[in-house]
Amino acid sequence: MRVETKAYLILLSSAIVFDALFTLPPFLMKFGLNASIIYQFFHPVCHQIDNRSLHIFGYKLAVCSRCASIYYGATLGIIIYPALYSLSSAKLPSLWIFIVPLIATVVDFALDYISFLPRNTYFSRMITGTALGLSIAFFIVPAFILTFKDFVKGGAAQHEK
Amino acid sequence: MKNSSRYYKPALFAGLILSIINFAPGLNLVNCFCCAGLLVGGMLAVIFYKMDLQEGETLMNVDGFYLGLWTGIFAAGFETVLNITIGPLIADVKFQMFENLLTNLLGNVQIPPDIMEQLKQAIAAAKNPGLIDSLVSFFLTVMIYSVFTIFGALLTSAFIQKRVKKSVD
Repeated sequence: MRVETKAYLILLSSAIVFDALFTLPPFLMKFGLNASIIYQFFHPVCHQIDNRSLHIFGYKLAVCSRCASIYYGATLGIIIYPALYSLSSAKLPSLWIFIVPLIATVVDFALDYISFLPRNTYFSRMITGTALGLSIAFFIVPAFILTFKDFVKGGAAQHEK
Repeated sequence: MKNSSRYYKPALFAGLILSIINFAPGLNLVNCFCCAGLLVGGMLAVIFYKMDLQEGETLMNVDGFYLGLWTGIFAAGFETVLNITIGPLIADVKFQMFENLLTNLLGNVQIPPDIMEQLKQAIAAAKNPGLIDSLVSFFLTVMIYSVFTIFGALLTSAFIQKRVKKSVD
């Protein structure tokens, strides 16, 4: 198996595990199991407010709807990346691919704090979040492949003098 | 891993800045926006490291990985110390700010009583941090912070290299 493919599969499986982890609590709680450790795990990176989170079986996910959309979007982006770009050429795309959805997400985020504008909704948070996640994947995949190649080559030992 | 000691200084500074951002009431709201504080922490580590490089040395992607990893570890460590030492003193301020944030996010809806109860429990825990709780929190924080700081650092090092390559071409 080629180094690029190996790196890609490691990244993809890590992303799927990460998504599964924050999606798992409702399923655990449905069967009467304790999921507090998973909520605690994601607590430092998300406010986890009930009214802002997606629910399954009446239980919230371990991250809010915007965070969940970003992570699902990133995994989706990782999945479709090989259909659009070659893994072996692993190049970072133009920064605009990231900046445009970032601006959309910032605007959506700001709607909560600008009183005269309409507030954001689940739908707007999920659309902007998914777009941002998708765009991030197009940077993460080549960056991860390049790093993995560095590791294989011997990494930090190869500092040029 | 070679030259690992070269990663400590930039990661230490970046971790310190990151832990202050995450700990300070008000500043920590930056993480409500897609964990921006954590990604910036990884980014800062790479920038500090690059500033430290001698002439002729190049930044590599693998450097970004280690810098991100160490930044996450240091940030979690600093934050745990801050939570134990200063945390109890500012727990009420944090509570007030989070209550204001909730009120703002929920609009006209009143804060549900169960959420208020959870908040009060969290504040009570912050006022009396136990050793076991702090240790568990430290290990969980190391894991989740490292994921984000590594990605912040990896993306930054990849972008810096792209710019360098472009200017060489």
